[in-house]
Amino acid sequence: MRKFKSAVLVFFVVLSTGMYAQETGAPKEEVKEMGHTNQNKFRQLYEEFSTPNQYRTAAGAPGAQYYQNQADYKMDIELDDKTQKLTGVETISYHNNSPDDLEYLWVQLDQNIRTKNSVALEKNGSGINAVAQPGTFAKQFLDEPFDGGFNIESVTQDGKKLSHTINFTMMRVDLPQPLKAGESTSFSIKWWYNVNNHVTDRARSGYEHFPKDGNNVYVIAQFFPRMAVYNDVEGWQNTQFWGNGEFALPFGNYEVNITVPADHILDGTGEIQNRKEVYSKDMMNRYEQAKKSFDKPVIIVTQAEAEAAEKQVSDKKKTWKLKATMVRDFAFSTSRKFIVDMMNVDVQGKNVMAVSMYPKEGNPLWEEYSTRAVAQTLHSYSKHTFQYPYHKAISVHAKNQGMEYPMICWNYGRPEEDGSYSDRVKYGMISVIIHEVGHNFFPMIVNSDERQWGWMDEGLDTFMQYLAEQDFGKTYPDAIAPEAAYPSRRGMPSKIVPYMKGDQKYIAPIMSNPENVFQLGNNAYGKPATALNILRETVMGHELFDFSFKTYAQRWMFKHPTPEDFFRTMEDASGVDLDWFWRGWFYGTDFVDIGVKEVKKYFVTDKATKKGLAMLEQYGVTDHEKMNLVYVVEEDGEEFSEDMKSKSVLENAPKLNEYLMDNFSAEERAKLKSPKYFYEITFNKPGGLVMPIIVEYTYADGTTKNVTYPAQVWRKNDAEVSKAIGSDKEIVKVVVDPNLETADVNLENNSWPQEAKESKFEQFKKEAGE
Amino acid sequence: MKSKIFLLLLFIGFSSFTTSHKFYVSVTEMEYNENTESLQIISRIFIDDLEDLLQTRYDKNLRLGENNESPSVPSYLKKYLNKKFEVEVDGNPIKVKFLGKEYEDDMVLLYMEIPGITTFSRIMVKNALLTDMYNEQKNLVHVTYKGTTQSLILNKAKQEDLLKF
Repeated sequence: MRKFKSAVLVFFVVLSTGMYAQETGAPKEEVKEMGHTNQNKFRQLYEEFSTPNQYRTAAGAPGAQYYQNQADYKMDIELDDKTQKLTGVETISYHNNSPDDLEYLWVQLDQNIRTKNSVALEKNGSGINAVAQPGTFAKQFLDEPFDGGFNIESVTQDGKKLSHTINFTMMRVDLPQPLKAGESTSFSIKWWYNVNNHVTDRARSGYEHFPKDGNNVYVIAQFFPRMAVYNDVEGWQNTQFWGNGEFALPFGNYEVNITVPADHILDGTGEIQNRKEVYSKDMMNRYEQAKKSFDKPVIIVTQAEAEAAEKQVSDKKKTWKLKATMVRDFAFSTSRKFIVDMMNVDVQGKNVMAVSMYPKEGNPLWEEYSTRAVAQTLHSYSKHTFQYPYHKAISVHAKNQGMEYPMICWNYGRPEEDGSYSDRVKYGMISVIIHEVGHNFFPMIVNSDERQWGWMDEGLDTFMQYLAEQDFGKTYPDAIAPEAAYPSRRGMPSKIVPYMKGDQKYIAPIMSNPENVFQLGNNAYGKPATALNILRETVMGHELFDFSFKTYAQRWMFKHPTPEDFFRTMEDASGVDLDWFWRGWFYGTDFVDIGVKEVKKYFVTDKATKKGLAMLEQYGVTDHEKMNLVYVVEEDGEEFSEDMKSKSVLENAPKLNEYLMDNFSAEERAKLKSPKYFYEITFNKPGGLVMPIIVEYTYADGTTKNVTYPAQVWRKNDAEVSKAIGSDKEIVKVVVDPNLETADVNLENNSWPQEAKESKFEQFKKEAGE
Repeated sequence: MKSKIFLLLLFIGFSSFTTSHKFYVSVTEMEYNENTESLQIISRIFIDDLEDLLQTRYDKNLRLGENNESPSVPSYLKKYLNKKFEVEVDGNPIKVKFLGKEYEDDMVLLYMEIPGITTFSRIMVKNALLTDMYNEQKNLVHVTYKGTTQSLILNKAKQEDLLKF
């Protein structure tokens, strides 16, 4: 068989003259081109990546000297429902596990984004409208802005005042002596602030007011002065909170006592320590039932009870005691309007309570789907990362927003007043619950720095959300009927196309700070989620991707990863060089556009052709007659004759036949392929991104064959590449990316022969009967 | 006057919900079709934003969506688009014809057309869609004319702009 290959080799050599000529045939420039640095799209990311060290290895894992500091909190909090004022005293124990001595500590005062003279209010440009409604005008220019910043009453250590400086949303606490490497210190902060209305403010934390019954539902977060992260990458991460770049927080243990009106139902991060004191007897009984219910939620507080509670206001107080270990934050929600249901979930052999809290305004939607969506998320995410380590996950109903905290999150999805709801509201709600509960994994446990990198949690979470949504559809087919699969909004490559083909002025690389991008939804959520989906489906395959993704999650569980740690782990665990992919999709704004430029059809002959002779001459061969050679001629070319079409390869090239007769036995010859058609197919790449070329060949008999050429096919010529194909059937159609796997922004050049594609607009017009 | 501008921004700064959209952006593609001699326009807007707008502006009981859509939607939409979406070609205001809409995921696609255009060198686009509802609304407009695409980003403060081809 080896011998036959050499004959085929000749065939390919001759066929490739076309490309060879292209490379050398350009007219010689008088002026010499300047040199250049390595611009190859497959060069490694040495310049972009930081140098690996003892803290973070080149493999993408935590290094031998990896450390992280810890902040433990003991807090007493009180909510005044009448004035919407929140008061707290906290003692922070800070453990310096770094090798550095710290002269000062940085504490985050996120609520200061809401001081009435907050500089965050000035972060955008603005203009004045020529005409405005009196109400709008008054709001813009006459109303006193809400003052929701922190009032820091004291910062003390052992009863003595600690010097501190507040810079907008950050507070530097100056220590009398530096906190030495390996040592701990503790200090206390007393504070209060006015809680804002999160609906009118469009905020992450605050209350929603229900005018009909006069009650509030509180979703309270980033409500206490929180330690900033100190690490090997940023030093102190004390970038100000401007609103978009979310949070960077160290892990720690929390003991929190929260005092609220006695008729409130509360839950939050951590285990309730005094459940018997704060639950009624009925609630306790139902809670015990919920522990045994793995197939459907058990109502802990009924709608009737919640409706009765919202009709009166208790003057008494009640204190809920919560304790959490290894969490990076603490949040809680409280109201007398809450209905509560719970279901136990067996997450890989561990019992986790899925909990939902919602006012009657959320029903009937919430009792139907919320807790089930929580359960699905725990299953699906655990399968792809690690077993969910906490004892519960709560989904709280909040108007218009979705936001995540450890063990608890706020989610939108409200039916109309008559209880009816559209599919859009239903799917919006299930999706947001999956997304926010999913954030427990990224960034609550795989604790990336959100202040600097929005995509590290949002992109990974949105990618996982897609998988969990699809699982939800399979677990609850009745919930999505008549749809066959869950209608996911993000993740499918085709859905990112409008963004990626958009004006470059308004697109930023994924590797950008969230404050500085135009379309954060696409930048930090949609595009990275799609990129990961493409890696899994098209570039790496499920097995390699899933193993690597899981390795990343497990390596960085309860730690602080950087983007490089993710990129490196994905390669390290899979053996797939992905630098070209990260460079293209994450570090740049290029898009995918790959087309089929031309298809040439060839026939084999043993008569010397002009092109063939020219090539031989280049190699110094003059006595071609003596050599046993075959040549190719292009269909409709000078040397082509019509009768070649009807003959077989061996008939067209008797020399090849003789060669086979001389070198192969009859049995061997019977096993040889007998391609009749020879093609040179040229693919071009107007887009900047390199991607595998996925091709569907359609033959004259109607059958098809799919072939994928690896992305590396572009490494020596970024503009176009040709492929030689021998086929026993005539190719009648070539389509690039037939299943829309690559987010190709222009499908007009994807087919040979070129198909006149009707534009979306023309299609619509036709269907609308215009 | 300048010191008071920040009051306006109080309502702008905090729109960053960490989930599914809540980024107030619409994308409008306007493409000149030489065969039909018309500007073909597709605007992509979040359904819930448009529903909020139509409810707030016209009828609080109005519903948008594939099932149970209110019959009054097309007429309100037409009325609204007339006010908020305007085009001038070479200095002349031109009537934009609303063809209809379709839904795609959580977006509604509005189809509009400006027929009878043979050539132009300047086009002014006003796109103030949803800026009466959300101060932070941004409207991206891409105009493609004979193979060249130019873009605008419009908002409440800057509702219209001119492109030269």
